[in-house]
Amino acid sequence: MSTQRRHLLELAPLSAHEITELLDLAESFQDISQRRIKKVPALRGMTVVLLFLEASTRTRTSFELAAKRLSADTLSIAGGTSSVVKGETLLDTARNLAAMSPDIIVLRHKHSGAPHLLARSLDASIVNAGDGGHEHPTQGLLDALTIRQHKKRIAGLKVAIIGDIAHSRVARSGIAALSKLGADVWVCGPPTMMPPGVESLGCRATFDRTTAVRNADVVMMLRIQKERMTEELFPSDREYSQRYGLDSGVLALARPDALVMHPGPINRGVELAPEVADGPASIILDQVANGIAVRMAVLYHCAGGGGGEA
Amino acid sequence: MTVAPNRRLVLDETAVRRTVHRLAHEILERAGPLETLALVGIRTRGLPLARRIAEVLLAAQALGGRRVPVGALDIALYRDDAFDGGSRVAVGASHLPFDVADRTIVLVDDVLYTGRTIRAALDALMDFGRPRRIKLAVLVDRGHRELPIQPDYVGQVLSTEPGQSVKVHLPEVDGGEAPDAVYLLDAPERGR
Amino acid sequence: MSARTFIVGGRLICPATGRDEPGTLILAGPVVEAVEARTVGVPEGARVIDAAGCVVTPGFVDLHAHFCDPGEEHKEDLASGGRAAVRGGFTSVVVGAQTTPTNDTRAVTEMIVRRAASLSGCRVLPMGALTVGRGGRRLTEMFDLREAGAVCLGDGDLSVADAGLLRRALEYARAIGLPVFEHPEDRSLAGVGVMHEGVVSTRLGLNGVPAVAESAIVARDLTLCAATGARLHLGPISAAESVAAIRRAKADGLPVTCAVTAAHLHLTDEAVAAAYSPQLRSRPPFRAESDREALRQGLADGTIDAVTSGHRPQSPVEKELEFDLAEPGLAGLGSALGLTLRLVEEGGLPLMRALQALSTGPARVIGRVAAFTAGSPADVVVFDAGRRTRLSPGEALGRARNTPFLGQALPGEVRYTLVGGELRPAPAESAT
Repeated sequence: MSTQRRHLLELAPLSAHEITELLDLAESFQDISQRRIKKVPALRGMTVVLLFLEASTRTRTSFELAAKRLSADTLSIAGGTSSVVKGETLLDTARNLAAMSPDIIVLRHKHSGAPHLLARSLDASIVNAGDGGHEHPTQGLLDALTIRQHKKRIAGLKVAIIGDIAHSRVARSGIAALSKLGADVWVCGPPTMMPPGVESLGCRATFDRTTAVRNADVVMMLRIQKERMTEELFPSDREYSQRYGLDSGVLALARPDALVMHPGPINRGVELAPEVADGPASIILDQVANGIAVRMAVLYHCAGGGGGEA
Repeated sequence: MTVAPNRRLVLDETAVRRTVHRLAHEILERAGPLETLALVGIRTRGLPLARRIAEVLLAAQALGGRRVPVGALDIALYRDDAFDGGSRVAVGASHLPFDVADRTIVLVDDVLYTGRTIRAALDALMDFGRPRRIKLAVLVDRGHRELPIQPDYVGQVLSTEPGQSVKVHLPEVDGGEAPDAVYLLDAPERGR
Repeated sequence: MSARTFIVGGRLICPATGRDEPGTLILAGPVVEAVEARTVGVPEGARVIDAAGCVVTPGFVDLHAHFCDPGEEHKEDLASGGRAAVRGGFTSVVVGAQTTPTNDTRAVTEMIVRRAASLSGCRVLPMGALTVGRGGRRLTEMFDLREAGAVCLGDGDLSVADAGLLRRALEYARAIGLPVFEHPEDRSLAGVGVMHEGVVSTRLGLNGVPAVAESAIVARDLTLCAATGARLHLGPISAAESVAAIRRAKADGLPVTCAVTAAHLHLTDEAVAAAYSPQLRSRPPFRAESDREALRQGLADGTIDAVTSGHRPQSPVEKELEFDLAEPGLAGLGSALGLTLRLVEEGGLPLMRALQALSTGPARVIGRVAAFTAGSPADVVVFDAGRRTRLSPGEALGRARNTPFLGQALPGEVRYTLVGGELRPAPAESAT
């Protein structure tokens, strides 16, 4: 029996069991990054292409380190511009890469559904490293793992996600992972940043920051992505910061042991006050560290290893 | 429908306990300076065996009341058949609560068969550092080696056919009420 | 005396007269001569078409199609589009003004009419642009366009954004006597949307086109229609609010008509969720289940006058892309009859009403006649409702193959299409 291709395109269709398995797998990879020799031969001889058609240094380097610590050969292709601008379609670019027989293609792309297009057309396993306003599954997993490690559980926790929910792939993946694992997820932002029917994703919604933060165990702030906003969604940074930003005064409404998270990079002083970003509640750097373990787990899983039936 | 394979008891609870006891004493006698000794159990069933050996060494006052350190080694990421399809190996974490450099490491596993598991374990261990020497202790050696690997401490040598398999039952791993036991099954090895 | 054709053995359904009975349809050259309910002897020398087991009904009239000619002939042209039309049972097709160059002058209209006469097989009825270059700033020479053959005036797949200009256009068009076609979409409300704005767009992280992008224009246009008294046609429509507003306007006696594409009667935004397939990108977008129900209701109660193909061919160059970047539209000529018959099969829609929406209804919108009455054009389709047609790449679809229904077996099989009394495609042609 040939192993079926495995992709990771989105978290929304995964079960709580599948998500937990990936988190457990990630946890077992964590110690590798603590060793002197930070490398295991699991993906030796495999080729992982990092196709980043939207600029993202941190996600790309995290995936690259993950692949290398599993001994895969990596090929990194970055382009700040859409491939169409260069006159070549995404599918043509990907087919050219596919001709070199990579085992896994990690795709970051500014349009939702681009990884699905590749998964339909190519033989390689496709890992979504963020597609437009859709999902960023490894971010959702690393957020869940970071929370689980700090709180020893996810079920029953109140998690507030604040920011531009409508255009956020981080929010979608986070809601999917955390709600399936039993968290009470709240999303919060001005109505212009709240997509219709957001509750159907598995969360509760409010326009009021206080409602979202009060008694929260985790407050996840989203980056205001000005580059993705094509419409007038809020009047000014000043008003946004005052009404939807997180400073120590607002954070005081949360539980005393509340955690503050942010997918980075931070707009300091806009969505997150410096004293909070650097404060004791912040676990932003743990998120970064966990990112490597999660991506190792995802690559290993997509290569055909770990978990599963047998 | 599958018929339950023919199963023969090779070692019962008492025999397993006696064998572990003997292995511990052989290690005590022949493994060199005990101050630098560490036991590393290969997940999953090598780990409880390593812990039991450590208990016997403690009871024997081998280090004057101190414990010989025990580590856990997961070799899933080092196997040469991880992606061959069919069998999917669960990945567990390795945990070595000591520096392996300049130590005498005794690798502990339940069954020695083709030697491929030990090959993977040696690679995995080397990635933690450079031990002074590595020894191998197994509960059962069933033969049919595919690599030039030999154990230093053997609990029981079993004469087997390639179509058979050896199943070690340890409550720490396999759960249930059933006591320690080693069976010989007339069914091929699965997942290895 | 012109050649006579006897179409015998079929079930004659004429939505214009309400006739539905077995009989013989007699054509005299390019026009209908008579309908005979009893068996008639076929005189020597007359052509006989055996329609046993088939429905015989006036040829279908498509109000919203695009043959991409001139301008984008790699997608479709007047010949391939015409072949797809007659194979789908359409004998008359209104082609949109969104050609390149825009069909905004007499010269372009004349060229389309002239070339279509020899290439298309069906009647190609051009839409003349309402504003120059479809730019929404200056009115076109509408008298000229009418004389060159335009059957309606509109900016193709755009609505006129400037309400003041639209008012003037509607007023001026009254003197021309042609209906004004508006594709109701407010571009500022549609924004960068690529699918229906709702729960599914939220889930997929795609930008949505809200239903108000359509219904706001529908409301504005109906107000201007009432104020000017001009004949207004809205379509394709997609939203429940639009159906409700047009229903009210019709009750108030406004000279308004509207149309829906056959695909919008079936597909919803949930279909997009399957795999971000660009074949499901459409303008207007496929909307929610409740919208689809409202469209079906509007069709059943007569609020919606016509079912169209919405034929908008695209080549793989425009479709094998990210959903956001793919061009909208599907090649609809090959599936319009099948999708409409599916509504009949599923129990809701009487066959008479379904056929009315494909022929008599749209014909009336552009002041044409589709009927089995003496002297009417001999435009006829003969189809077997009991058989199914599997959509496969090829002539049934035209040059394009951009349809989400590819490979599906849809009810109905077109046996014969006659345009002006002539079999289309011509028998020799269809044998190949």
